[in-house]
Amino acid sequence: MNVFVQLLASKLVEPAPRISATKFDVEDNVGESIHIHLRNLRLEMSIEDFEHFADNLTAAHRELTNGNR
Amino acid sequence: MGIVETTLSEFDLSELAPCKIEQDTSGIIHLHLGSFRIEVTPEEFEDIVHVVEEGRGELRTIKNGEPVDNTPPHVDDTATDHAEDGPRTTTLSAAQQQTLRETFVALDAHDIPYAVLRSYDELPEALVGSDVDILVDAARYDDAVAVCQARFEPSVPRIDNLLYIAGIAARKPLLTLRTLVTSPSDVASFIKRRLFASNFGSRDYIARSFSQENLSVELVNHLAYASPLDGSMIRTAASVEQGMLARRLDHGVFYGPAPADELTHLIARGVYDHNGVFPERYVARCDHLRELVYSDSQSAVTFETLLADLFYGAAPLVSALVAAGEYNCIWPRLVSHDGY
Repeated sequence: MNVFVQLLASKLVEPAPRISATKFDVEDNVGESIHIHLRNLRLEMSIEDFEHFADNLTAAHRELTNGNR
Repeated sequence: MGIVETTLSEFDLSELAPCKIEQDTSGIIHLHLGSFRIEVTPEEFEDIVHVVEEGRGELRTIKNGEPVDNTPPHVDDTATDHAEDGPRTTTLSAAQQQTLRETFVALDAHDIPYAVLRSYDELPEALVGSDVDILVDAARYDDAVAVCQARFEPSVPRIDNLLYIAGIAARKPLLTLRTLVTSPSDVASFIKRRLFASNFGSRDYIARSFSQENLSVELVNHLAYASPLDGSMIRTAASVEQGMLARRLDHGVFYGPAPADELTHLIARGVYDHNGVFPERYVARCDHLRELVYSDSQSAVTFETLLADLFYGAAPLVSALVAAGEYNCIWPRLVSHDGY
């Protein structure tokens, strides 16, 4: 983590995005890509990458919970 | 801003690298995806893991060809147009024929680009199906509405639009209630747009009907097809509808789409609006259009380009099935397609 951080601009924003504030969808956009919508953020990845991403999320979760769940 | 305590996972994705999942000393989880970083609580992270896992399970089920319900889960609001394979043909009265002719002449006189989308072979003497569907240049949609309002009975909010709104509320009651409470102006705007859309700009898909006895004309400002998710009308790429209007053909009394555009439209309509089950009349028409398209190299190139605009990386698959005349295989093959 960088110690030398200088604030360049700042503004208080809404606590949740006005668009898609409660959305969390995983979609198969056939012929195109897998979309992961988390609120107003969208991640796009191939099926192969999605498998890899899911593998690593699961591994991280296992590490986090240390096998306790 | 916590100090990283634990690295939980490190990996690369083909278009996002490096990726890393870390937990800091305050317990916050950091998802590093390339140069982006998302910070979530452990509880939020657990939700992410579970939803992504659920999505992966469903994807594997679908792509591995296990039995799936091939019927899109939306209610088709165009059922009257395709429920029967043999469409209703209505001989139009002399007055109705005259109204149609005058309408087309007026659209031309006002330089309003349009194309009758389908089932136009017997126009203006007879109407095949439930109505005359006309795509109008979105920028001139209100002018086209004025042309029709001057010649047909006053339009009223379409019953299927009312049903569409009611359907959303029925399918997602909690979301509807929450949206009503938190964003009432958005809800009011949506309802206005859906029911009286031509007064509210042209960003969204608009369909308005006009009638004279049993003759019905429907004007749409964009090409759009029913989403397999919820039946909402999803617009195609702008190039698809712009191309259709630019390439339209003069049929004497009216303009219709070029073969490549009409074939693409019928394929999309069969797949999305008709739940993947092509009515017999669509099969016959697609067979005819396919011969025309593939007998002309430029038309064939246009068709392949249009398929790519509609079906992305699955376009070669759709093209091959169209070439083989296997239209009803398109929907299930798209569902199981995994080449992307």
